[in-house]
Amino acid sequence: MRTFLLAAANWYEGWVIFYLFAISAIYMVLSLTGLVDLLRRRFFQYDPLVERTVEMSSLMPPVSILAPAYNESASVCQSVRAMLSLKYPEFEVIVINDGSKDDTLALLIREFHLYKSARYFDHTLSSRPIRAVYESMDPIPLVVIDKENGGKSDALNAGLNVARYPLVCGVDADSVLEESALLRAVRPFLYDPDRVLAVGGIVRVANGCRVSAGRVTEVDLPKSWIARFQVVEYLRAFLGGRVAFSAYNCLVVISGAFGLFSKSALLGIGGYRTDTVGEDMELVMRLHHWARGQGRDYRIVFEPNPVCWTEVPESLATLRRQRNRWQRGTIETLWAHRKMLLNPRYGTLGMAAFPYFVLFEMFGPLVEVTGYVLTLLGIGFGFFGYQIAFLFVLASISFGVLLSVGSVVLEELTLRRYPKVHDLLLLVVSGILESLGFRQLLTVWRAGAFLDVLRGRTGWGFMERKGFG
Amino acid sequence: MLRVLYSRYWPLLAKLAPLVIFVLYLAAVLLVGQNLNLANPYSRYALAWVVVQSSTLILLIGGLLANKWIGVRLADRRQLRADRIAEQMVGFALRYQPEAGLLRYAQRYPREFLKVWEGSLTTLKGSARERVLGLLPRAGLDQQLQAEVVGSDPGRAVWAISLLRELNQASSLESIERALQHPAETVRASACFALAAHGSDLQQEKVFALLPALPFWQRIVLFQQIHDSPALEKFLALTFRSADRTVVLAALEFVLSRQRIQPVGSVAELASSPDLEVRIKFFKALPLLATAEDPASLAATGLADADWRVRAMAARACGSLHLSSLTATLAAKLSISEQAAETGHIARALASLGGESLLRLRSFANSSNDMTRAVTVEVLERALLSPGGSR
Repeated sequence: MRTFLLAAANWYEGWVIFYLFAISAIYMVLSLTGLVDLLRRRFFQYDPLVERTVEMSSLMPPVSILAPAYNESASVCQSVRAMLSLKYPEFEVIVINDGSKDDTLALLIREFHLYKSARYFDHTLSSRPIRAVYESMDPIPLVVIDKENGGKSDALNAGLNVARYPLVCGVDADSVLEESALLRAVRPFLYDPDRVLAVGGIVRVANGCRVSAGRVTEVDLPKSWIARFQVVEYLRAFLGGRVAFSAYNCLVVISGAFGLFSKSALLGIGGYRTDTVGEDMELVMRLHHWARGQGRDYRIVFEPNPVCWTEVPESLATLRRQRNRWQRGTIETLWAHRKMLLNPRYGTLGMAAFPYFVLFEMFGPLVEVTGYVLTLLGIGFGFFGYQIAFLFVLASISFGVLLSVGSVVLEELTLRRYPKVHDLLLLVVSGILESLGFRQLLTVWRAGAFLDVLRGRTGWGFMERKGFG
Repeated sequence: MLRVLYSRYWPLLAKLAPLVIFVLYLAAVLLVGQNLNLANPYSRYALAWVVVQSSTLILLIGGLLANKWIGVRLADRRQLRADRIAEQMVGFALRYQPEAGLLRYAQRYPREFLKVWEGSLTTLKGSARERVLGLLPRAGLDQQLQAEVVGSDPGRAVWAISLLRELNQASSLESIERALQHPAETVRASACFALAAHGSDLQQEKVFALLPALPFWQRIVLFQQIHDSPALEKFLALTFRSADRTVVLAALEFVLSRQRIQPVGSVAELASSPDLEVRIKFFKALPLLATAEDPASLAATGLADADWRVRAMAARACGSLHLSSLTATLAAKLSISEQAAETGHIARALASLGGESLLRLRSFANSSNDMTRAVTVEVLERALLSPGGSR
């Protein structure tokens, strides 16, 4: 029996090492594919005249910006003012007050001179009842929807009903968009108007940056290590993964913090689903489903240049809730769209991206955690020697460090948002330190989300925000 | 490398690249693994993998930090030089510094000089700007830029075009014209924009000929660049009567983009064009077209269209052109409209016509149709809140 257990443990540990090798190789391939794409974009520079000119053109497709807000009184006025000062020829900002318990609505009414408007809208998508629609007496394109609480997806559906423009941009009310973010995000719709259904922008960490009047005026790294680790994580996710997936038209997630969509496509798929916590990923998957089902030649694109700055959690408790929710969202979405798995009808998405997500994003944390547990048990009970355990730990750490540092290299070779050598050094150090405990902690939390899904846990949980003030 | 990027094989190469990278990575691990002296194959290849990863990591970190350190230092030096050049440039523009010092800088540090020169042109006006403009040919940098326009680096070519178009010289424009054949699309587009803004009649005609085939985003930019010229008049006179729908659509987009009244002669056929997109854009642009026909009769054709989007645009045109004679038709359309967007356009048109039309619109505030009533109330509310809205 002992021999059998020993063999099984050794076999499993070897298998986990192989698993780590595979994921490492895949990430490396994704990062390099992303690098090629990013360098190509940087190489094929755009004439600065283009941005200056399209800003004034009446031919640009107008955009409705949807910003759901729940208890956002700390930052909502500043965020709305920043949205209203975006560079774009024609747009409307629709803030959806999702039954806030604080004075979010009162603040908006006072600050922007809102009145109860008779604005007409169709109830194309179902949502919790809308109590009133407000518009501003001032000549600003602001609409505020006051509705009963129904969650973010429900708020976005209400916003979609009220939106009047052909493109809709979903943003978080507590995020900060760069002034030209919309102009840049809309580019794929201009270059390929018949095929593009959605465009996602990059989300960067705002902690540590100087924010004034709703704009990031100076880019800097956060003071806390937890936030610094997340800077590296965000770079890895966006520059390493999404650029590459976008290049092969198998992007599976557009961040809820900033995404631009064709309104007709969103209405075509019935809007956001309200029974999932991963509504952003689920929406993109359903867009793929819908477009492929219709036999459409389509594109869902990631654009690395339009930037949305967001505040990340600096406390472990908040971070844990956030990561648990993200992982639950991933599991729910992948399960709901399991039909795509290895289905040649879905092309690269079904045959490569989806299996990747199932194997490495859904089950990855479970495999890694069982590897850690087995290593500890193996050493404690003498199942296997220190050599294998040491190799596993080394492999796990070097894999993490390589991915993190690789994403910093991507950032430096292409977008260069961190100007100082000191910043870069800090990012590299963060990339190394992240793999010495922090990443493992996240892995354990993510594995825990699996159990929460099995237990049927739903809901977002409380997210503590400090605000940019 | 550039040849590869431009070649038609690039998409295939880009698809194969990940596979090649994966194979190389695997080969490196296998190679290192074979040379390690460990009996257990698991341990051997796991260690090989760690060795390959760590080596890659060390190379990456070293290269990254060295590159940043050198880059920051070089940028600082360049900035220092640029500051010195800028100081001299201000003196030269204000006529208290001779140009000799600046020309020396231009020879030694052309990149920094061009950056400062470009920046100066955006801030200076009048004779000071003219003096600074003349510096570039005297420094001989225009020749260098002309060579870069057709060079292999698209980024530098676009920059060179943006500088040369400021010069507005025949020789510069000729080199920009050559860039219309550049393999990179961005360079061709920049050349189009520059020639549309500064080119001779002949060069403009070349650009106009390319216009319908250009992608939508390039047309948007180009329309903003085109200046009034005989070539433009000739182009517009022909395009509105073209049998090619893409040409007609480009002309209509041009009018919409400029937002200025455009004499176009007789365009009655466009109002009843079999092409839906042409009809929609035609009625959208109607308030900006000085037509030979009576605009009211054209708008009436639009209001009778089978497609609601055409009717909506025709109604909008009625409001913009103050076609009060069509009040009864608009009211009749409002009573039967089933599309909220169309209803909104008709209601807004009636509101903007004021007087009798506004009264007709008010009667719809009690309509039995929920949608018509709600849209009417919204439009009336807006009309009352707008400046002078109590008409």
